[in-house]
Amino acid sequence: MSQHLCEIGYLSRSDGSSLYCIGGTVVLASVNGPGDVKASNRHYNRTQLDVCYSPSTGQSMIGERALESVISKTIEQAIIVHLHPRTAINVTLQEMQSDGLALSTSINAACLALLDAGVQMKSTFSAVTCCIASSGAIILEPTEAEIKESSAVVTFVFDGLEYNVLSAYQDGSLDSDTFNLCLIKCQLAAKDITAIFRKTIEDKHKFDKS
Amino acid sequence: MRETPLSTCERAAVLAAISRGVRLDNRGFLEVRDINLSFGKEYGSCTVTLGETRVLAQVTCEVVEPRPSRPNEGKLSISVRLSPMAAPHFESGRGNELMDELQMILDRNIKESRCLDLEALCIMAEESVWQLRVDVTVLNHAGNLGDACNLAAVAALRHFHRPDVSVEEDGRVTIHTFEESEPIATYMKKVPVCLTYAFFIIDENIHMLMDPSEKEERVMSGKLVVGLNPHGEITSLIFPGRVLLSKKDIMNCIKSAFKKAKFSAEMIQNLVDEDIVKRKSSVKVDGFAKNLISDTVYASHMVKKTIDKGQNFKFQVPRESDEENGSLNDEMDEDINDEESGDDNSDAKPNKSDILWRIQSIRQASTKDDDATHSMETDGESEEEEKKPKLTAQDLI
Repeated sequence: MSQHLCEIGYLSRSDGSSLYCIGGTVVLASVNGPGDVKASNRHYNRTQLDVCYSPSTGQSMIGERALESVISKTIEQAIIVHLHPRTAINVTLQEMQSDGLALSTSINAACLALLDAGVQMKSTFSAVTCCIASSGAIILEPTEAEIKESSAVVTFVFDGLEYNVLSAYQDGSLDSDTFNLCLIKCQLAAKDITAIFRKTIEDKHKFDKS
Repeated sequence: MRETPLSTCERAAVLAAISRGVRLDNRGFLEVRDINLSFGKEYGSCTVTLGETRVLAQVTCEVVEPRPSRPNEGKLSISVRLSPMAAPHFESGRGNELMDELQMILDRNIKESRCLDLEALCIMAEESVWQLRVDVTVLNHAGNLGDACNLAAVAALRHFHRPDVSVEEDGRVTIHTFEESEPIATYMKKVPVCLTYAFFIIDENIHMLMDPSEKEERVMSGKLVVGLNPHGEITSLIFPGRVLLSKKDIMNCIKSAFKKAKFSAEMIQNLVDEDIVKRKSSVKVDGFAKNLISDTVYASHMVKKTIDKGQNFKFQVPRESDEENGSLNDEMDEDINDEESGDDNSDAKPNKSDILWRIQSIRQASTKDDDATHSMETDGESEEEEKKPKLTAQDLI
């Protein structure tokens, strides 16, 4: 696994924020809300979730929109949307440095930012990416160069209780046995990531007390 | 989301503090917040923090056709974006007044000042030139975005290296990767610096302070944003708001800005050069992963610093009678003297523990003949002195 680094309480103007690094990929996430929302997006029974992902250079294009939709569907499963009707929660993700793992880093950053903001969730969630190299070996958390060489890339998102799959995103083709092998490998890694989340949040509250 | 309104008591607190010669964050009137630059893994990506204000700038390049009117010049484009994470009321993909203002400041300071040698970006006249694109993203809005964006864009441009190219005889252009051939640095003739002065009118006295925080920006009556470079050229000057200043006062502002600009420009140059040297010597670059400091850490660092400094910091509320007679001039002098006694050690070089670089504010600006700089009381006689038709840089130095 690549090195994970994270920090919360990153931005002073957001309700919750975090910086998450996996290897060379760095994503900054911020969460605002639950707050007011314009009438067209107001739901009588649940909160509106807006996810905005921006790349470090250039305009946000179709690829970024696709990422946004995967991320927002994942987050929507985790947070308890019925607690705050007629409100919106805004999740903003900014890629600071890219090295192929934008999706999994963004999801992990979003989870920590939501925890930092104190948004109620059913469980935490953590994402792991792996790719299948041309030799057939499974590489966990590859670099961009390794992804270019690979035949398929799979990202799994697991919940933090039972490590069930919340969402899976795949690019390229692979057979079902390899898929299952990837799933098991990623599931193990997800446990480590959840431990990192726990430690980060514990540290924050230790810091608050002193 | 809507912007949180500023309450009347917050507004009153800011004004009351300023009229008594202190600022809410315990800074001097002419003191700039800590500046910290960190560079990403790639060339030309840079994050600047100015206190809690945080801006990301990223430079990219591509080969394009030149403009027919200027066949041997490269292109430079700058775009500013206010991310919704900077403040809850910013909406993604939608511009606002602030964004237009920042875009204008950057265009004037960097593009129109021609600080970059665009002819050096030419590969083949009329055929192909480099286009540099600077993306400036505001990540946290804690006041004075103009200075922060300018700083980030300039540092990123100076840090940027473009790939080497070779042109063959038949006119084919080959772009070499960084491994094949040493990348080429951008050549910047002059370093543009942007400085912001905020003005507050309290009981008909005008108070001036530098580098306003977000609260101060919302309370201030007007501001003066000067873009200049250490070579004595003014690249932009905007003065919005409801303040009337005499020509002389503005000139004095600019004069003191020139002194500060020299330090600021040197600081950018040193930090960028240091990082490039490090990059060339060592193999591995950490990038953003290890170099960024969060606002929580920064805030606790500042609190600690204030407590450590606390022995000689006395908070005094002047008596009512003093305050009415006391002009801005006296406050400034006191302020500056305090700074001189307290800050000597922190001005020199950053310690290992003290990662935050601090811009050296110039205290000489307060010497006797320059006192007029800070006394912004409106006096009528000053206009006669400036009869020169055009404001040239020579007049100012």
